Amino acid sequence: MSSIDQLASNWVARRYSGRMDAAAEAAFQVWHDADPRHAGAYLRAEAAWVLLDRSQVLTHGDGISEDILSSPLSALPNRARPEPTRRAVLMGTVAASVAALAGMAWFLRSRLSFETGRGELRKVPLADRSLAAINTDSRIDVAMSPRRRDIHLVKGEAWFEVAKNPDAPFVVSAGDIRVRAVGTAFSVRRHDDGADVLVTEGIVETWSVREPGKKTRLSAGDQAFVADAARVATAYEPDEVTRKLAWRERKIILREETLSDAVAEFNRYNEQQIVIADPSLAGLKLVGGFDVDQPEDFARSVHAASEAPVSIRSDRIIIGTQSGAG
Amino acid sequence: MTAANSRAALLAFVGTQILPHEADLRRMLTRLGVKAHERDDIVQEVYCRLLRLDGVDHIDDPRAYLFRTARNVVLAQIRRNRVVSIMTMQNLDDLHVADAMPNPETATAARVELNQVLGLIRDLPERCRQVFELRKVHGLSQAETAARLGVSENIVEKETAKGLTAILKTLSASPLLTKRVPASAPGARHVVD
Repeated sequence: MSSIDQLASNWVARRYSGRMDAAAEAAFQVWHDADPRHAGAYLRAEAAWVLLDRSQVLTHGDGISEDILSSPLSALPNRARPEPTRRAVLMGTVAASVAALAGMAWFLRSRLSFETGRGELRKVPLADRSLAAINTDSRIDVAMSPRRRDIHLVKGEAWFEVAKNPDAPFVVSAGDIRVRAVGTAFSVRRHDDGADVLVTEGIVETWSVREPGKKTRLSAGDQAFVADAARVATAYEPDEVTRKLAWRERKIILREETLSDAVAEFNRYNEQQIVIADPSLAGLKLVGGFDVDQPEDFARSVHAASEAPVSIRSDRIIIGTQSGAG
Repeated sequence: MTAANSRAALLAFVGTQILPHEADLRRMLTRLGVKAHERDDIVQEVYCRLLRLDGVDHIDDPRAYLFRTARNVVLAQIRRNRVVSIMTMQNLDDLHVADAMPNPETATAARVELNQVLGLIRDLPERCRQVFELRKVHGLSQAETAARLGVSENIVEKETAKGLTAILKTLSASPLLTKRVPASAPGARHVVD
């Protein structure tokens, strides 16, 4: 039982006590409406309370044990304690880290590289007060000047929240691909033959240096694959953009992704690589949300859901074959 | 129908037709690998969706309705990027048809149901049990219960909350046998979402 369920019981007891006043009723409404889970837990608790009235209906009120009338209550144990809050706080506050840097000299960070190892996620404030979140196994080179803000995505993936400055375009290069923003938020993931661009706020412009005249505008909620040959495949899919950026909170979210896609995703973050030994499992459609660094959790859930055998070793996880085989 | 009447109808429906199947739903979610605190979230959201119904008369098969709603809640949680342990789509659809599994709730005699409800009260710790017997079996008010037991109303209220939490815990772990409400028109099942 969660602490929400205990609070729901407390409110039922209070509201059926015959002692509710206007202030308590108002406090109840605030709690009730604060979260759909509160409303649900309260309905459930109240329904159980009303269900118990059936004992009265069914016994016509004469089913009571008489001993109770002669056994007064003595001191009551008071052991009911709410469970500790379980929700972890996700993501540090971006604003705080940016503000902490506000006073830092411009030139100090004008030319810098940031690199992450496998499984690492870094959030770095840049000299112009923009913010970069750098995903697993990635590297960015930053070159800042009063007229230009150039970011070179050497490998991997990064998301940028760009501080507004119309005089200094903010340009990310990933191989032949360029993405330009003035004040906005977007991510770029480098691939061998192009780059994924996801826009979370504002508008960006993207192109390939092979055809600099052919620029494509993308707005918030758009995701695009920009090929080196300058072909751009764009789709307005805000849910998908959010899903693909769950790594900023160290999460992997699956909405009907295949097992092979999910495994590729986990393998970006962990030395403990997952291997699918049985090809017939590769197309299994999955839904769920996980921590990027918990591949064992994921594998166990796959086992619970599909009953595929899973063998977990320190260096790798094999899905689809018994331990020892393969 | 007045608001008070429809709330009463909803409470009666939830208490007798939904709560008794909650333990099976939780068991199913456990089997799919959903962790305890995630199960609580999902179950609470399911009840919240029941609140949004205009009425419950159209629900022919409450058990199927419960499982179907749980499936939709899980999908909605994933859409909001909540961490909910995995299920295959196939298993989510199993949730949908879980009502086809054999389950014990066939027509149950009123006596069995009575024993079960009384059993919930009987299993409470001694002082809780006294409070619940006076309030629920004899229908006494909180003030009358306090007077009868010679304690303050605050104590009765605390015992009430404590006992209700314990009863909900029991209900979440073991299914209750209830009388099934006959489908209004056999063969003509509504699909509700």
